[in-house]
Amino acid sequence: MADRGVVVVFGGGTLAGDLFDAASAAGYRAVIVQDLDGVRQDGAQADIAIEACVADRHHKHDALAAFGSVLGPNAVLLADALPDTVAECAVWSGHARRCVGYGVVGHLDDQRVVEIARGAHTDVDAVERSAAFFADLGHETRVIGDRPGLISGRTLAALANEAAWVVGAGVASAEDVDRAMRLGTNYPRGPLAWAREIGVRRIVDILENVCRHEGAAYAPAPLLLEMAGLASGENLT
Amino acid sequence: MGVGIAASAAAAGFDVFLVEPQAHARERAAAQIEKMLSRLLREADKAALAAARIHTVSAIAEAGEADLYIEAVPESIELKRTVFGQIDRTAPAGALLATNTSSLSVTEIAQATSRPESVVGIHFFNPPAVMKLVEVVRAASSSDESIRRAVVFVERLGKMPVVVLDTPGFVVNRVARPYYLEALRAIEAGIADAETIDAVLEGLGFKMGPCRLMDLIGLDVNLATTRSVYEATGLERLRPSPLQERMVAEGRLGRKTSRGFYEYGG
Repeated sequence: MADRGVVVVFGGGTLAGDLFDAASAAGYRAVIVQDLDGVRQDGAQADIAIEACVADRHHKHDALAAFGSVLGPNAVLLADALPDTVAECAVWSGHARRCVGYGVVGHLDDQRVVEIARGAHTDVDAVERSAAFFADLGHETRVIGDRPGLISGRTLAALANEAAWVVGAGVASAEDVDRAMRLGTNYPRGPLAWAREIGVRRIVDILENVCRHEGAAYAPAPLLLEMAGLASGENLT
Repeated sequence: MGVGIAASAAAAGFDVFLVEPQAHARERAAAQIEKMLSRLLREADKAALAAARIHTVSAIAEAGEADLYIEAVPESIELKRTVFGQIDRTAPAGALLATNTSSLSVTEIAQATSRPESVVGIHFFNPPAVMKLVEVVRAASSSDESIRRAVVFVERLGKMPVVVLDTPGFVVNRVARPYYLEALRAIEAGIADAETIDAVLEGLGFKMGPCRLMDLIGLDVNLATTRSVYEATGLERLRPSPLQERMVAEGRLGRKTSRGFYEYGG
């Protein structure tokens, strides 16, 4: 199989595994690293470096900074742009011209079209190479601007949140809300079941990203925080 | 809407009185019913039998005594309260009274009758002869027995009832708002165009992207639903989109005007 270059994936979750598997299958020499030493060791040879769904923001910051300190001048750094904006990721990496955001909410296979998000300083060439990379993995891409949650993450998170507010208000049960949305609007999955599949914590992280930039209107419903295993406001002292 | 509900009920074996005061609308209804029933029942003799179960009349008083009254007049609280006053004077004791409202308070409509415990919402989705889901809306005044009877009726239509509380937009119209609003806000923010947004969301498994879907529904109809939910809840995240308001003002309503987010050949 043709050698398409070296991909270094950082992350311990399912998305990191999905990207590693897909890149390997597409003929990339893929490496998965799970700590900062691994990033520093393997990052220097990466053509494509990927930060995949690192839930802890400090950890994500450190990983992007570590990548930024070792990446070659022509490497591309793909950052998960759903829980943080591309602008934030670019600053953390210290490598703004080579930093490109991407949006995959849940499993890579469940998302035929991957969003590629430009930061204000991203090189055109880095955007093109990111699109070519996902094309090699069998995905269409669309290039969009930087906005909290991009399109896929923000839509699914906002739907799950609205459903959670409605259930929390006692309007109908979670099962009935999901069933009503599938039958009444033809959604492929009910918003709450979908959020569980993706991981409710990730949905909450996306909503909090929107809140940080646009105010409290998108605050996660107490039921979502509960489902994510996070304390709801009233439990905080 | 009323015609589709009448056809669904007749197809399920109910005797139906379709009340339509306007003569030309009564004529149109007959043709529509025939078409819907032949699609619903396939076999011509069954469709003819079902059509014969629908009696079209010009006033509620002509309908005689029924077990269930379903109101499906335009979404105006005054109009609906007037109709429910008329139903209240005609319907026998023990009848179930239902409104097909999608955006008004069932509790408020029920207060126009002397028997608010007998009033529920039975909210069908468009087109009612096809869509399986029906929201059975429990008003503050609805009795458990009224809700139970509404659920049984919906099940006999071969549809799926979901019981919901009387709140703005009920479940579907409320929870679906962000699907449209987030697309509109993304376009307003200049990060993507309609086609890009539709492609991304269709790539996640949605049958129709939000912009294509708004074009199909009609931007004016979609905006009216958002407005009513927003005005009743005051929730900032559900505030109507200025872009959509501008498109509606310009007559870019979607397919029905050949122009919305997309252009449609005449």
